[in-house]
Amino acid sequence: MPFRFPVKFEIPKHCYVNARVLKDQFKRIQYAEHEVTRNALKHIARNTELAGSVRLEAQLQLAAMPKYTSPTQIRDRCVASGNGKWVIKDFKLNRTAFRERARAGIIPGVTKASW
Amino acid sequence: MIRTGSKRLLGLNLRLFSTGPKLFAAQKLTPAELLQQKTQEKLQQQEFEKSLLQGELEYKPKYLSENAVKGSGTKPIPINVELLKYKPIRLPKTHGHKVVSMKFRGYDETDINIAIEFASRAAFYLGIPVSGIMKQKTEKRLYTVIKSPFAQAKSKENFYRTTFNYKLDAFDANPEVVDLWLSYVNKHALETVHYTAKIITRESANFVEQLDSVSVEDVKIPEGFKDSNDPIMSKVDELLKSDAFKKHMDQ
Amino acid sequence: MSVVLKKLPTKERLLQAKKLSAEIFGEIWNPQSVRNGAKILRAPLKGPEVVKYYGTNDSMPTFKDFKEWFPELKLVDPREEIRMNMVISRKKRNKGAPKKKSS
Repeated sequence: MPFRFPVKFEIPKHCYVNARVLKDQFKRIQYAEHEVTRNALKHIARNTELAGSVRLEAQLQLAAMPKYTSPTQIRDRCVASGNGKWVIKDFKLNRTAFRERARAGIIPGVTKASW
Repeated sequence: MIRTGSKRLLGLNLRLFSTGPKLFAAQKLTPAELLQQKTQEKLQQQEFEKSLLQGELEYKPKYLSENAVKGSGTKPIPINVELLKYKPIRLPKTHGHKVVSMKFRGYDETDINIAIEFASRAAFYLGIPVSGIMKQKTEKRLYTVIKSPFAQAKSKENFYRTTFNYKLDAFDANPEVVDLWLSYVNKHALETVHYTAKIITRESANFVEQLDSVSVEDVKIPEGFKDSNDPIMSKVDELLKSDAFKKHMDQ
Repeated sequence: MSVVLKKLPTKERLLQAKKLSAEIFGEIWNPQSVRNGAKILRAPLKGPEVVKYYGTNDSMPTFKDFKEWFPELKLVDPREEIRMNMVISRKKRNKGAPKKKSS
């Protein structure tokens, strides 16, 4: 079976893996790799001291970069279930995964609230 | 000030239970007597230092109680082990200049207490005066999640995460001793506690004159973006020199 | 030793001092606050943090790694065993996954 991503990368070992997690991991790696180039182009495009044509060229090149190198394509997913919705950032867990663990008392410091 | 019916009883109680400095036992000495006492202390100190340099030390541990440990021979518990039962002893401040303020942060209060007591005991044995264990504000962060895995979004469940904060200040210590203390605490740091230490250093009044005597090689001045190896700036230079941008730059 | 200021220095003089301090501390001198994209240069790179979200593979070995390193031990993952048994039993009852389309 052919590798479905344009570039080969290491599959994460220590979290729940499904197709969507893999896709996200691929985007993360690509973003980290191209971050310097993107920021350099962005710097040229936003620098008003440079000539207009140079800035336009930089903006065009930035827009022509693959979509998977963009930071806006990255979405935090649940580490335990791969879910992309309702993920609590402090724990990297989806609401159901979080509730299960919190009720079992696995997450340090988290208890059922009562007031 | 506590007022009781009989003065005598209070005095008795004080004598029985006070463990602090003897307030009432202070004797007034004449200057000659004081001088004599001081010279004697000095001589004793010198003798002690001499004995330290000569061969092996004589093992004479001090004991708080004479209870023998059950099951492990006849050896009584050394005083520093026995003191673990009590609050950490503190040394009095000499000048009151704050040197370090340590912060302890974590989700488990007992772990933080172990860490902070360890630090203050270590400070006592290193001769650093420290403040008492100060509790800071406890943070509580609330998380409200939907109870069911699907639908029925009205019924929710609340959780909170409590983060405990503690503080410990150290005073009047040499920077070298402070480094020793902090590295010792760091060596035996607990994984569940987050330690931060703010170290305060003082310069002498003629700091400006000292700066003048420092050569250029000793001081590292931060460099700007242009000549440094900042990755983005070097990439910008590289891009601007490429063919795609060159034609625009020439215009 | 101490010098008492009789009056405030002029605006030009203050600007000069600010420029000098910027030169010394390697900051970008931009009094007119022209948009020169400096804030993009100033921001730290986020990439290394972003990649670590799902954990680093080198942090800890997994069961599969041990199996690979010590094949002579014939290690068996009990959870994987249970899963395989379930799949086999389901297949026996004709409840297994459908066959792939062949064309």
